[in-house]
Amino acid sequence: MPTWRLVTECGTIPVREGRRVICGKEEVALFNLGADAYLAVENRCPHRQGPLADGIVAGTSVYCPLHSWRINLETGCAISGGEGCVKRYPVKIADGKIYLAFDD
Amino acid sequence: MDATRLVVVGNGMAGMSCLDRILQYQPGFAVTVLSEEPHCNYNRILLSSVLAGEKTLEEIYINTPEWYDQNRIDLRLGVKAVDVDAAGRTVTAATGETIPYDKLLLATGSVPFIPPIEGINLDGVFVFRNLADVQALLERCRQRGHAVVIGGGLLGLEAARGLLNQGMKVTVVHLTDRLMDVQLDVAGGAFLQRTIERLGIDVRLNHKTTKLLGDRRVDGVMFEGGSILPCDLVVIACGIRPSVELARRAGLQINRGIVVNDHLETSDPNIFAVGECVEHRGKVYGLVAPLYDQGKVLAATITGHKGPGYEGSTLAAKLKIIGVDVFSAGEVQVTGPECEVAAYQDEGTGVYQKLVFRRNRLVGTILVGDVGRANRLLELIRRQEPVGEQRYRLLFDTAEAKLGAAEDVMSRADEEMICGCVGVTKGRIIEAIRGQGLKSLAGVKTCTKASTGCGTCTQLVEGILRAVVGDQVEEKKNHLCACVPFPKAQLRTMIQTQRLKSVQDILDIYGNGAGCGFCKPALSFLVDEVWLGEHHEDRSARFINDRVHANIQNDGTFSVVPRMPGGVTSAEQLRKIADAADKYQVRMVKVTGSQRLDLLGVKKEDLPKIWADLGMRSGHAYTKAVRMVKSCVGTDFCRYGTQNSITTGIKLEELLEGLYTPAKVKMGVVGCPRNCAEATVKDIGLVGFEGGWQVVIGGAAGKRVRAADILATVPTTEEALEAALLFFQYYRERGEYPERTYDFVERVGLETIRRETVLASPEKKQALLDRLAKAKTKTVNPWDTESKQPVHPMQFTDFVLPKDAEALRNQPAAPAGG
Repeated sequence: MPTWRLVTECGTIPVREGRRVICGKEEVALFNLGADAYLAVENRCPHRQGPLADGIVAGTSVYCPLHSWRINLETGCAISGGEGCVKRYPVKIADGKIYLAFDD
Repeated sequence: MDATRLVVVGNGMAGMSCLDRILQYQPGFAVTVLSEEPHCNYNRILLSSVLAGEKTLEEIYINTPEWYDQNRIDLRLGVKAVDVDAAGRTVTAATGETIPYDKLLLATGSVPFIPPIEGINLDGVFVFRNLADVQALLERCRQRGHAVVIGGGLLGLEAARGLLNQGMKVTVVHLTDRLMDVQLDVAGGAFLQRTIERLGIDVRLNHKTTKLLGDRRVDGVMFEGGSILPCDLVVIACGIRPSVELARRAGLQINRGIVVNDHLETSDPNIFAVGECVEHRGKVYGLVAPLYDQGKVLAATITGHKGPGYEGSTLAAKLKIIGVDVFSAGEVQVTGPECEVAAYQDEGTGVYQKLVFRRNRLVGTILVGDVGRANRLLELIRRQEPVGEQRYRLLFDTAEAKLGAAEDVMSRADEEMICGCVGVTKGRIIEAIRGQGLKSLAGVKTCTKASTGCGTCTQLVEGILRAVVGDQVEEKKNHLCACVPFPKAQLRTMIQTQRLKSVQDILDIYGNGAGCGFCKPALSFLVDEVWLGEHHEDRSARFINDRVHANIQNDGTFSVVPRMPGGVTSAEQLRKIADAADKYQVRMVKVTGSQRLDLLGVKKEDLPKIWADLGMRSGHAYTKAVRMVKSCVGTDFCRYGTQNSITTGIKLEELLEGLYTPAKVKMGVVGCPRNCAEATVKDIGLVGFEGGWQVVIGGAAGKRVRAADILATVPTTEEALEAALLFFQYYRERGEYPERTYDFVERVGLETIRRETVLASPEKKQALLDRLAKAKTKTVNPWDTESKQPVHPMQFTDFVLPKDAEALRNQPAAPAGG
């Protein structure tokens, strides 16, 4: 049963940027795609564990800041660079707040 | 038996696409093509793109001379047909030559409608119909000035946009109360008008032109009521009329166009007609898709494979102005009580979408601001099937699909039509890419003919290509990127003339809306360089290094390199660096190759604090900007020194510090030709000798090793610095992101660089230096400004969620599912 955890309020992450969310041992990259759309994936590129939260967002994908692998945030899988996937985290918006679902 | 003699009059898209199909059925014809225009067949639809500078003339040719040769077509360029003897079966050319035929195909197209206005023959009055018109317009645009386009239809608006791109001030005057009045309703026209005006085009509705003014050359337009609009150039875009003169001489039945039946046969059994010149079931078409459909039927007819006839096409039109999305199809006006309208309009975003239903069947649509559903809706209009209860859903995409518009194409069915002009499905494109191992858009176009019509599906085709072959896609070299398919130099002009001040605006208007990891930083540089700090700084378009002013390392931490102009530091600075290294527990303090110190392993959230503690300026070691000036000790200490390299080096570094460049710029100043600080392998180097300096450029000791070229040899330090500054600014303005100076020097050529910098006129030199000075006044030390006030309050922050269950319970209740 996943637990929804409050991360922050909408608007604290600039549009088309990501931020790192740390919860225990888990590191999540949470992205604001604009128009109240948020997506989240594990903050480690499948290639060399680059921090995806620091990548450049283009549409619904992000370019890893280390070697420019491009990760589709909807599927969690690499579109270019090489092959590999990262874990996705469900995101929910309610009352202007952003929640992430973690497996407890 | 001799081959059947087929004479084609007209070398345009309709005629040649039909001929192509005829040859596929039956290669045995002896074909003669009479082409009034002196060019091979080109894509007329893309003339507006040529005028807009988005395409070159070479790019719009469809068939090469070799194609005509290979198909043994006797192509007569520049030969106008003036008469037809239907009984004797001959065509007479303007040259006097008589050409016999067995079958005659008229593909004469249309001619611009010229309203009866006084002054229409003045110099400076143009039509916009063929290649020669575009060439003449482009030539005339060099003189700049004010252009008036008479006619606010498809062609007029496309012409207006092209003229604007060419640097003209543009006014569109239109007879009726709304733009594109044939294709749009009142609301659609108003939405379109706002978008057009936002581009910087002046629109005047309800203006009837009565007279063009001027002695020899046009200098004004007079309207009904007597008001006058001064101008330097007029483009007449009042619509087109089928070109029927030749058919009339042949004695064919003519109404508005050459009357044809469902098999494209005219009233003469040996004469056929196709394209804009024909009238079929009372309709005349001016768009390419119906013409191709007609061509298919006619090819079958003429080769004796008569099959199903042509039943007419749904009228559809798409405006081809990048960033101005307008589509219209079918019946767009409510014509009776059985018509029902569903519409959505959003003035904030400029989106207007209208559907017209009759008896629950979709019969027409107008889309402004977003034409993503155009092909799907057109298909529904064609099918004439009932659309069901939830027909309002036709107006909306899901939010996810909208966000991922570029990738969205892959979620569509294989049978879905991608190129509506030529009729190519998604499945066919994928099959061709896979089967033929295609890696470029050009390859897909050649192989499938997709995107060879109006070109609006180009992004979809590219999207499919990218999805199938990924990063293997071969980009066109001079284009910045497939996301913004324009040459770099042109983008710079567009940013200037269209006053585009943010990366997202450029991507929305000229690109695919999303951009990528390459073009977003590139556009950030361009916008900054053009607007000298007056732009809207969008940090999301910057690489992480430029968002946080530090260099990301392989473990996600950052490196901090403070500026030490000329490679000179002090005991006080070293103490601060040592203290900061301890306080922030940096993993290593490293002496760099650039005569400075690197603090490695700093956490992102510590960056503003370490900057504040250091109290030093950013060394910009993380970005495409002025890095440093390396120097030797020179006359201050060295027994061989001939010039003061330390003072000069510090001065050069401080003159250019903080400026961004197409790629990093490393410099060196040495006090004698022993070159101890390696100035001859730097982007800019000053090499001192007894009595003067050599200024060298384009050196490298990185991925490439290249000895710098000598830009100038000058007697004084002031002149040496000026030469360095002139080259620096010239490279800033002309360098193509991310081109280093060593590639720039080789691309542009040393002679050109000398001519444009050190050997330029005093005015030109001063202008370069003035622009540099202006840019310099906008520079800041980001470590100072952003340690006090980050661009965004959360720029350096992570979110750390409480781990323990206690903290969790104190949070607001989790939201309900959904």
